[in-house]
Amino acid sequence: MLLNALSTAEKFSTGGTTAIVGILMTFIMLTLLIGCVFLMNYIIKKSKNVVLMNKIIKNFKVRIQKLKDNKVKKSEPSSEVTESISSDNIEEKEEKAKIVIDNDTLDAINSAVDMYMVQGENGISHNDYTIKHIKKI
Amino acid sequence: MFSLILTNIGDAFSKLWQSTGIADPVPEYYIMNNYALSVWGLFIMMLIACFLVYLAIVKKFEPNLLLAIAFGMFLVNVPGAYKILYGTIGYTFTDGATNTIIASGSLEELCKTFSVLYDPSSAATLNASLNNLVNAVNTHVSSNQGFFLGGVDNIIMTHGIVADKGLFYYLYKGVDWVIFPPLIFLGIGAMTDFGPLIANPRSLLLGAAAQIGIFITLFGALFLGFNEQASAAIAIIGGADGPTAIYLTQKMANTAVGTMYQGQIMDLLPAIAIAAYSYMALVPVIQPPIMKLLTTKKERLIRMEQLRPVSKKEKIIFPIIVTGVVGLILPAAIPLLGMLMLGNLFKESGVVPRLSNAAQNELLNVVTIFLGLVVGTKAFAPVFLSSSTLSIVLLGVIAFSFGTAGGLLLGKLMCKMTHGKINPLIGAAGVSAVPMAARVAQDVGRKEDPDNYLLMHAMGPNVAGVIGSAVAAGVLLSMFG
Repeated sequence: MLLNALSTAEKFSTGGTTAIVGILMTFIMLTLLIGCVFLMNYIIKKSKNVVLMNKIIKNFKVRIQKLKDNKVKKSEPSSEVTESISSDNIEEKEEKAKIVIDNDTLDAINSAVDMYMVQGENGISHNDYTIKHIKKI
Repeated sequence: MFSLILTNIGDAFSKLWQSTGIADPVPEYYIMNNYALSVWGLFIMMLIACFLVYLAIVKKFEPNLLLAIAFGMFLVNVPGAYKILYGTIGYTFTDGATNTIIASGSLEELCKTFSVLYDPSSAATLNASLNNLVNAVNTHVSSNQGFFLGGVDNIIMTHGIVADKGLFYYLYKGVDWVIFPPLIFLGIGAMTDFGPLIANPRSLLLGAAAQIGIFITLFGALFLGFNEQASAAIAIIGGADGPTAIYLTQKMANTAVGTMYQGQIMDLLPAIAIAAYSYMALVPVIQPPIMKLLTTKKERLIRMEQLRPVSKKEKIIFPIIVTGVVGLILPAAIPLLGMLMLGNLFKESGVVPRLSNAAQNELLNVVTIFLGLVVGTKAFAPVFLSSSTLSIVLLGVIAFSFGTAGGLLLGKLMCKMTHGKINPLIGAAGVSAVPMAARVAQDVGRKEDPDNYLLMHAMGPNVAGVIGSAVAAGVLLSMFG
C-alpha cells in the first residue's frame, strides 16, 4: 500500500489501527508467557510436593514401625540380658532406652509436621509456618 | 632515454595521484545522485566519528559498542576509502526474461565496452554518460534479439558492488544475511539470569508496556511518509535493543518494495543502528528526567519485598517454554528469541560450561567487534547526511521516551493495585537496555533512599524487555515482513 497516496484521515486510521493491533499482540503474547510461567511454577511445586509427601509418608511409616518395635522390645527384655546387667548400670541403660524412644517420637512428630507443611489447607501453603514449641498432652 | 624515464615517472605519479583519496574521494555513483555534501560530508562525518570516540573513551558511553561503531564511521569516511573497504560500485544490466547478465562493471568500464564517452568532470556529465550507456545497451540488445529473449523492455539495471570486493563487503554479509544479531542474542542469553523474572512473572507486563513507544512511533513514522517497512524499522529503536533493531531493519529492507521515504530508496540501517545504540548508551541521560516527572517522591521511596529463590529446574524449563510458546504463535521472533533462550539454556543447564563461556565471551566479543565496525562503516556521508536521518534520530528518541513512560505508567498502575508493594521505577527498566536500564532504576531509587536496593527487582522487567522487544519485532515482521 502506498501511504503517500492516502489522505491524512486515512493515514491516521491506518497508522492508529496498526499501532493498536501491534500493542495488543505484544501484550497478549507476553501475558500468555506469564500464564506459562505461573503454570510451570504450579506444576513444579505440585510435583515437588508429591515427591516430598511420598518420602515423608514412607519415613513416617518406617518410624512408626520402629517405635512399635522399640516398645515391644522394652516390654519383653531378653532373659540373658537381664541376667548380665549389674545393679550399677541398670539406671544408665534405662536412661538410654528413654532417649531412643524420645528420638523416635521426635522423628514421628517431625514427619507429621512435614506432612502438615506440605499438604496446606484450602490451597494455602503452610510452608511459611514456624513451629515454636510442642506440648505433650 | 631520459624522456622515457621522465614519462614513466610521470605515469607512475599520475597513477599514484589517481589512486589517492584527494583525486577520487567519493564513488561516482554518489556524486551522480546529487547527494549534497557528498565530499565535504566526509569531513563532517569524520568529525562526528571523533566526537563519538570521545564519548566512548572519556564519557564511557557504552564503549564496547560505540568505539567500534565510531571508528568504522571514521574509516569509511576517509576520502577514497569506500571503494577499498567495500569495492567498486557499478551497474549490472540483466535480461529480465532469462536472468542473463548482459553487462556488469563500473561506469567507466561499461562506457569503454560500449564505446560511450565517459566524462567524470561533474554530476551532469556523469549522468549524461549513464544515459548514453543505457541507450547503447538498448541498441546492443535490439541488434541481438535472438540472444536476449526479453528484448529492450525487459532490461533491468541495478547498481551495487561489482568488482574489487573489499573486506567490509564480506563482513557486511553478517548483517545482510541477518547472522550477527541472533549470534549476539546467543551471547546475551548466556549472560542473562531470568531468575528475577521467574520469581515475579508479572514483570513481563512491564516489559510489554515499555514496548508501547515502538507502536506510537510506528504511527508517527507512517504519518511522516515512511512506508510500512521503514516505519516498523524506525519504531523498533524504542525497544532500546541494538541487535533487534538491526535484525528488523535488515529483514524489512530485504522485503521492502517500492519507495522507503518520500520517493527515495534509502538505506535505513546506519541511521537506525546508530540511533538505537546511541540511545542505549544514553539511557542514564534520557530516562531519569522522565522517571522523576512521572513518579511521586512517595512512590520512589517504596521498598519492595525480597524475591523468592528460583530453583534450577525452573530456570532450565523457562527457556524451553518461552521458545515453544513464542515459536508456536509468533514464528517470526524465533531467530532472536530462540538464540537468546539457547544461550540461557547453556548457562542454566550447567552441563556445557565451555559452550556457555564461549557464547558469553569469545563469540559475543568477536561478533560485537564485527557488528560495530560494519554498522559504523554504513554511516557513509553521502548516504547518512540527509533529512531523513534527522527524522529517524528524532523519531528514535520519541520512541525511547514513550517506551520509558509506558513502563513507568504501568508500574504506577501495578503499584496502586498492589497497595504500594511495587515501586513504579522498575517499570522504566522494561526497555531492554540490559543491565543499564535496571541500574538507572536502582540509582534513581537510591537518590531518594540510599538503602533502597531495587536492582534485582528491576532486572525482572529489564530481561522481560529483551523478550518484549524481540516479540514486538516478531509482531512487526508478521505484520509487514
